[in-house]
Amino acid sequence: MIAREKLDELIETHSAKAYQAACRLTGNQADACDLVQEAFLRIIEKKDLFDPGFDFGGWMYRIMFRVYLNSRRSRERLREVPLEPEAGSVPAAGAGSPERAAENSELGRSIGAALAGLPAELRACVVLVDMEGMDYEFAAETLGCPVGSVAGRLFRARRALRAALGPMEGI
Amino acid sequence: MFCAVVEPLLDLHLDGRLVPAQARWVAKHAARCPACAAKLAAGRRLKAALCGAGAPAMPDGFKARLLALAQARPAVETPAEEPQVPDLRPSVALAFGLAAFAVFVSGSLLGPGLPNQACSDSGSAVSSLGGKINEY
Repeated sequence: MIAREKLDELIETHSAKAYQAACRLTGNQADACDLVQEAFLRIIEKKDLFDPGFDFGGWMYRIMFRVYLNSRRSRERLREVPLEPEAGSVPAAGAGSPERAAENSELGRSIGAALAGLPAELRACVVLVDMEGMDYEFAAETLGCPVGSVAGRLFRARRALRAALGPMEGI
Repeated sequence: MFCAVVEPLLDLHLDGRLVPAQARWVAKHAARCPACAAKLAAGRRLKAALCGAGAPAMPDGFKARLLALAQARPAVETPAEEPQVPDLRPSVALAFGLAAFAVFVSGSLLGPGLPNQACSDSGSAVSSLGGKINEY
């Protein structure tokens, strides 16, 4: 069970991370907002079931990725466009000079487009392991599949990403 | 031929998922094979690119919206937990089993000392019956 004040604190701490992962998953900011909101709604509704001894971030990821995969399965078609930096948004991490920022922005767009071309399960694996830096065991637990499936999905996803990003210099 | 075996292991090697002997074997092969070395390097670059890919910052006011959501939405009522009563059924069954076993063992040890309704070995019933038959 999470106390009222503690829940506010957890939202303050974890919402930005959840939003970033949601952006990577959905490919656009509007859907990312919807996904994070839906995930936090479930968290709020089920907060009595949460054991404070466990990691809240892991629980949050699990709920958000399951919401995403379920919505993907239920919807036949989801509006998805590659990540586009919107006006007023903060540039990607590591941006220094304008040339570097432009390179990063172009690379980010290409990665977003390549990710959008992947099936939802493969994309979820790539986002969790390669972009969020989680290990295979956590990804398997979050996605509800064996560790071997995570390895297989990652292999297929990376092969597809390499094929899509191959023409880009440096990949 | 080795390349076909090594290729599926390259990603696992990059993720540090191979046991040391396998990792040494893959690294040794990649050092000799330019094609596998190129794939390994490409995998490394892809991982670095994915890891460094930024995501847009949260829109202004979104966090406040989430906090307002937490205030507006009460938690779903979970059914009140019933007081925990220890389940005695296994222990009761075990006690009955032990009692039955004890009765059986004592019966076996005492043997003829216990009265037996089916076949009495005292001979009194037979002799009294024989006496009655003789009377008739």
